[in-house]
Amino acid sequence: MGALVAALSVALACERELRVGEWVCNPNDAATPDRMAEVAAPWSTGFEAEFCDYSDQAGFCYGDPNASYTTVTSPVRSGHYAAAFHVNTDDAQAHQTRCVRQGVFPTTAYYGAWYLVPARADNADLWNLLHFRGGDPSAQHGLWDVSLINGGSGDLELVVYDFLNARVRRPTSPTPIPIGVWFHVELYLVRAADATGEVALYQDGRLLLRATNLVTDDSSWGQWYVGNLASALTPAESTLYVDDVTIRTSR
Amino acid sequence: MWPLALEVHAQASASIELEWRAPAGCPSGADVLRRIDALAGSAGAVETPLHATATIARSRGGLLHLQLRVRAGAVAGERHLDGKSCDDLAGAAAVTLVLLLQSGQPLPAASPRPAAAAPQPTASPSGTSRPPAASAPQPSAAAPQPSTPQAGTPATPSTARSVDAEAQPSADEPSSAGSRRPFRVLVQLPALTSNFGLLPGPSLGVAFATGLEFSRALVLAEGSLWLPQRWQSELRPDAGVRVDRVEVSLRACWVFAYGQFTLAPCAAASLEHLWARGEGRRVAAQTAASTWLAAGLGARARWQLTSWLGLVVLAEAQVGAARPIVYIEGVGRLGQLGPAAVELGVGSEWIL
Repeated sequence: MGALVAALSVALACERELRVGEWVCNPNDAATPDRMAEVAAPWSTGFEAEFCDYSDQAGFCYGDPNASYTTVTSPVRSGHYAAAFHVNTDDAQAHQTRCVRQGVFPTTAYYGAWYLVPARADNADLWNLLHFRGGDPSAQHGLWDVSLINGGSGDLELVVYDFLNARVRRPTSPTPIPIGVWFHVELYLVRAADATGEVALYQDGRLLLRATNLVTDDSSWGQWYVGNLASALTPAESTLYVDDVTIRTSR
Repeated sequence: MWPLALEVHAQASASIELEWRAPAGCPSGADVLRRIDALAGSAGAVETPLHATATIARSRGGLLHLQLRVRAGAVAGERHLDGKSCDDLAGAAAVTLVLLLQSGQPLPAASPRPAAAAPQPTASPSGTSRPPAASAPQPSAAAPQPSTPQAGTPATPSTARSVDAEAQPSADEPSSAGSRRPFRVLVQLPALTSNFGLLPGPSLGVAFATGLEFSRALVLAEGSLWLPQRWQSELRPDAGVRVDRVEVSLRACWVFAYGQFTLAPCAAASLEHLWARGEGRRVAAQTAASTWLAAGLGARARWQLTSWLGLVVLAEAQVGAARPIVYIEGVGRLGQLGPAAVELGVGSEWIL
């Protein structure tokens, strides 16, 4: 009798959920990709496969303990997903969350990403979007930053920081980024350990600054970070949306 | 009212089995069989034994009424006679059976004749042993009664009311023609079935059914195996699920027959079982299953091509007791079963 009642209760249950699997980047435990390998270009990710396009290529995504990164279905620039990187500068455990490609990068390449900044904020220190490092897996140092600062009018503008020469490179013609609208950030980098390198910054395809005949990279192996790093924002909480990250050899 | 006596006698001759019901005071079944033996002698053997049921009862007018039912194999007939005495009717029954025995047929087909003022038999059954002459009239369609009884034989009421009928299935009685069983065994194989509304896409499957048909009632047990379906995630096209389903049903129908066609409204109860497994390059797949009840109402039509084969079409609306949701963790919902569905089927039905 008890078995009959149990069977009927199962058969008559109106709604039930059948879990038929879990999304994982590497379900078959394939071999770990070589992080020392050359970074092939072109490469891109629209986060349609979550963050697997990074892990598939020896990359990774990370965040401070109280920061977070995830994929969202809105806003998106293309496809069904974009990435959202959330930080809180009032919390020392929530200052950064980013995704990283690593390996031997092309000698010449364009590193781009589409960003959406939902609201204007006052930045009193560092608010980084793109970050390049060089060295080896055990120790790296900074090479280049593309960051946001508040311009004279308070609008947010892109600037470049040159780690090797320890100087900020600002566009000659300040161009505020749009708020609440997708905009494209792209850095052109000719890697060179001597004074033959070149760097150029584009916003929505428009050249903001260009520097030539300089040392751009003193190492062969490097890392490229995309995401959100901030240390002193008002308001303190910030979510940046990122979509369609690319490495390409031509524009 | 006379008390009825029931006697069953098998094999007064080798070819006849008589079931005799008559009021007390009437000749017994043994008496009738003895008359048959005396009348038929050794010339009455037929290949197919006759089974006769004779019932004598008093009618409202005070007359006695004989109902004689005869069956030989799959063919049957019936005859009615009125008389004033049991002896007359017992003799008439004996003569009729002897004639049938000699003709090798049960009662021949004939148009029903309205009852006239029932004249009495012209002679009493004598019980003599002289067999009927070779020229004794045989039952025919036009003259179902032996109109000229031979001397020394019991006279048959020549103008007695006679209603002969072949035992053919009537239009609204599709029960087993030519079968002595009260039921027929039905087997549906092969059968194709389709379902619209339960799963996101139309389902196709094969079905097998077997059951019994009792006169107008029909009960079928059916099993269906559905072709697998694959659903893909709208958001992540490389993630999906394969869905398999089986169904076991019990269907009860009430049959209306129109010649070779039957139409039967049906009610069904089903047990549905579904199992699903995730698919995709980035999916750590696992299998999950669900079982639930469903109920349906519909109609079933059969075109009987031969006495043993029919073509069946089924249409049914179903409502399920559950609507399972299938999902992949990290991807989301891939689909949910619909609350109601329409099922259509076609197949051949073997009538055993």
